Amino acid sequence: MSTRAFRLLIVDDDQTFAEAAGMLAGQEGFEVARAGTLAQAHRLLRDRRFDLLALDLQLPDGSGLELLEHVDLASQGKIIIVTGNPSIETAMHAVSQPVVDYLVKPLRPDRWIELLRSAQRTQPTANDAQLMRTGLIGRSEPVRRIVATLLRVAPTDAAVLVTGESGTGKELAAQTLHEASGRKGAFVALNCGAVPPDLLASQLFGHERGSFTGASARHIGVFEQAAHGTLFLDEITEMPQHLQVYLLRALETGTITRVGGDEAVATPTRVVSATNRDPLAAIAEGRLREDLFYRLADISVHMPPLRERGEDVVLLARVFIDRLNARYGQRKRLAHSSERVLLRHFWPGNVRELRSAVQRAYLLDNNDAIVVHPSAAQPGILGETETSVVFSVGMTMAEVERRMLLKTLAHYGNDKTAAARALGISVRTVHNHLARIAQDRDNVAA
Amino acid sequence: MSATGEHEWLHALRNATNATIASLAVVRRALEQGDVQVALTFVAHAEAAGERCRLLLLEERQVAPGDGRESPGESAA
Repeated sequence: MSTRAFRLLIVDDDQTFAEAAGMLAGQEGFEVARAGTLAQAHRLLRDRRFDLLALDLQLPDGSGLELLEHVDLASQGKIIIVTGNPSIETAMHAVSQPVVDYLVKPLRPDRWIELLRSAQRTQPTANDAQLMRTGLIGRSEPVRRIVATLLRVAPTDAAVLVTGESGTGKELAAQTLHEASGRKGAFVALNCGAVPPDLLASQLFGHERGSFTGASARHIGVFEQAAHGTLFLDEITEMPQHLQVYLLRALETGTITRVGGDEAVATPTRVVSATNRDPLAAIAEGRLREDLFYRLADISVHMPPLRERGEDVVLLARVFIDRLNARYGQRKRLAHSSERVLLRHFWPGNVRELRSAVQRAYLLDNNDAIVVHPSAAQPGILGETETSVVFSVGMTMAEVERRMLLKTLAHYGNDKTAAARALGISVRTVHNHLARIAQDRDNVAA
Repeated sequence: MSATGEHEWLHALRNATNATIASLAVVRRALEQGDVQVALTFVAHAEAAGERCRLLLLEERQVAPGDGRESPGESAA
């Protein structure tokens, strides 16, 4: 993700301390704002988000605790209480809030610096309440980090580029951005790879009546449909180069011109784009203009593959089953034995593959405790060919061995002797491995 | 001094001491970085905050004379 300075708000009516503390924080790389009253603090917190709030409790127009009551702490950063008037009551109140420290004046400068550095080291992650506000299902650290980033960026005008493998939830991330943005306009999605290149300009920018054969009426493009809202451009690298030039111009001027028209139409539209390609590789391959990339990626968010989200896979499977239960009026549940299988599978198709596997098991399994079998065929593993296997950090050795053995056997037409020779192991070891794989499958089915 | 008065006095003294220490921390950093102008500015802040401490301590001495908190030298004076 692009980096920006950490923002610190010092709320303290002692101007000398606030100025000195702010000076020290500025030298630590913080962007510092100061408020001497509750009213000033409220104003600043309403307009901007801060990563760290240093709050004095005794202020001219009230107690700093009032600020804790009225500020949406979930969307703000950490809070340090710095008080010259400590009491058991305020300390007790503080521990019920996301207060990271309760300091009594006079404080040691080295302690202040230590807290600032600690705040910078700790990447913000979303709490459970924030996760609930989004459609992204997960409790893992990668998901919490992404949600925290999305909620932080949502109210701004920053263009966001979402990257990640197919099925990782890029459109869901874009919807989360839109819903948390407070924008009044619509969320409109367009898959640039799914529209014939000849029609894409018209889809994007609209067209005037008679602008080309068949244009019997004026058409409003997605840019205008998403005015005051969010336009999600999926598979952005599939957009033809000449249209990328027009898109860049639209983004830079905030206006579009309909095909066949000559009037510039203002489009206050926030653009969120996505690709399952590496954007830098796409630039190198000539698929994505470099100038457009920089315009689209004020902020880049990478959606992690399901295999890197730990226990989220089990949580997601249960959520999918709950949804199916609601739809079909049943009370099925995930078989305990399935959890290990779900956690061990590579999930090349990510959440989409999981949803499909759960649905298949739900519909075909007559038991209340359903056993989810990941698809035996695993098409589309990025970078794999008939004679190569892709491994990633985090895979178990058992999975590595399983995949290598099965791929080698397939390559040699299930000839175990040839496979054993190629792998440098005995035929007996091949048999042992296959027996273990079969045993694992039986355990799951049991 | 009443309990409330003493509470407020202690609060003010903590604030003034805090401001003095924080200002001096900036002075040290500024001098380490060769920024004499900033150092001088915060020396002035430290002096002002130190003066607040002095006045507060003096106020305490005047309000509660002979309570054993003044220094032996001041008592003798």
